[in-house]
Amino acid sequence: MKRYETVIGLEVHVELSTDSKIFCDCSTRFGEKPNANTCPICMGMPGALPILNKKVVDYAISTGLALNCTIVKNCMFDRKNYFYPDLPKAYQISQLYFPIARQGRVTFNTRDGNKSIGIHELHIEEDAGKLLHDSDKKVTLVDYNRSGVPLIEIVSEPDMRSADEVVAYLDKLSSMLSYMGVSDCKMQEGSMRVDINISVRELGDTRLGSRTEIKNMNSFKAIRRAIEGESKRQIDILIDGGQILDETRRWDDDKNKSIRMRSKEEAQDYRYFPEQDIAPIEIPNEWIHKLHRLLPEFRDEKIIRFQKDYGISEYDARVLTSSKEIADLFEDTSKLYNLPREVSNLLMVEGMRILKDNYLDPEDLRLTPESLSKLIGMIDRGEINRTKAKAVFEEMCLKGVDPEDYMKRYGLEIINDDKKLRLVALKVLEDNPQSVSDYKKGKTKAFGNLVGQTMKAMNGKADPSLVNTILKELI
Amino acid sequence: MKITKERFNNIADMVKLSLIKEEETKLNKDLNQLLDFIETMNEIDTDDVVPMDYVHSLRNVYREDIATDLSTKEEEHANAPDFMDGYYVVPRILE
Repeated sequence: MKRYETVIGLEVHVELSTDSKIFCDCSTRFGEKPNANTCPICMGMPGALPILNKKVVDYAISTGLALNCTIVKNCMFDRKNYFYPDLPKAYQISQLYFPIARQGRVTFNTRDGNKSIGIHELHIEEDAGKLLHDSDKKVTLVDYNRSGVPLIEIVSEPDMRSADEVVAYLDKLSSMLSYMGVSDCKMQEGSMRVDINISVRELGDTRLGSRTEIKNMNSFKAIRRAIEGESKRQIDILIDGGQILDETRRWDDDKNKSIRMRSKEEAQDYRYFPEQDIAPIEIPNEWIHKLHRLLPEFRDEKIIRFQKDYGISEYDARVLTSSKEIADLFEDTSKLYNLPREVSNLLMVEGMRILKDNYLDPEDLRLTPESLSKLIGMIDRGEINRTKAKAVFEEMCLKGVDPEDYMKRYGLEIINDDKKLRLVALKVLEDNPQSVSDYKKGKTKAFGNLVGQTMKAMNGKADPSLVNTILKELI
Repeated sequence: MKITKERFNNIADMVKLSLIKEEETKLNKDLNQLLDFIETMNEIDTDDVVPMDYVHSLRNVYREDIATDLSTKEEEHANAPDFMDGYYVVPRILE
């Protein structure tokens, strides 16, 4: 039987985290009322003059550098004409002939060692509005809040061979982009969308087979299923002696199959031409060097350095660096109070749980390195027990409270007053003669009861190890 | 290069022109004359000429990334032939 391999290339659209749109000063905020963030420019009114947002160029250059691309120092925009209500101008301003960056490379770890994916190009373009199809009224509703939100499109070479590699590549891309602050890459909000170019060929064949393109995927799970489903569909056609058609398809995740949208013959004629409303971009070397210096330390490097500098495990380093916010919080706190294992523990176990329970993103945490280092100090000096520390930590994450103030206000500090503890312990022994005699007869369980009674009498604020010592002395 | 009737109709379609017979004949003729003119220009040797892809000498025209609220929304909304519950309404479109 013949064996086949799947060949995959991706076009990844990423919405940039700018405050304003690419060509006008409308806000890019997500989740506003429909058509609240619009103006004559992003509504394509005749005579409106678009002006390029400089930060978009900064972000695109930085991304190009992070992906090891060559920056195209003289680049410009092109007009892509199409008639569809999601863009009221009837064209999209994009880059075809001179994309801002070309020929890069991304490397990541897989179970089978390092994998390197070529980047064909990276270009800047504007996003389009959102269409809602109202089936009752037989009309389509349009929201132009997204029209003119800046995008970069990252086009890979057909270097991926499996859904696992695709997911690893996307993980790496979104980690790098979030670390740079270029995009939040939230797939569920549509700030990262993926077109999959997929073909199959007999193992050992070096020619590319006919490919299909699956448009607009926005979840890792659906991407995985689409690749597996479409790859199988193509292989089945080949086994039956059929031919794969060069066409655009849509993945229906409910039906778990791809559906034909249009063939190559029906492909649109975009009549691209150089955009005259936007002045060309000339990028001097100084601009590139400046942005190069500003590139952050990325996750893979951090994972290695955290193990070395803070003596934590690779697993811990991986969890802590899953977002730059958590990684920075860990590192800045550990610099203020040198107890990295404790910091790592709290952040990894409690921090991650709090994020999950409250549906928060790391940037929503109201914790500061200063407040967290205070709490770590209090734990270290035995001024607060672990259970209470967790509760305080949660308050710090959600409400930004200061741990010392909070403890004082709610009387959570541990009582280490030997004299006071002795008095309470004596009273407990008097009140529980049965337990005392049981313990003396060798029932260790009875001792636990006495500790529990003492802790209860102290409202849980006593240091349990001190209570242990005192009780043993007194008996 | 002559534009075929088929290609002519395709272009008219893309730019959303609906033409009557006389207009079609006239425009098709005009278009072909224009192409003849360009054919003549093609005879000039331009191998050493850098293509002009932008007519002005302007370069690097930017705005800073600051969002402001222009509040012209009501005017914009009023411009639309049909507007409902905050949305622009267009004839139903299916992919």
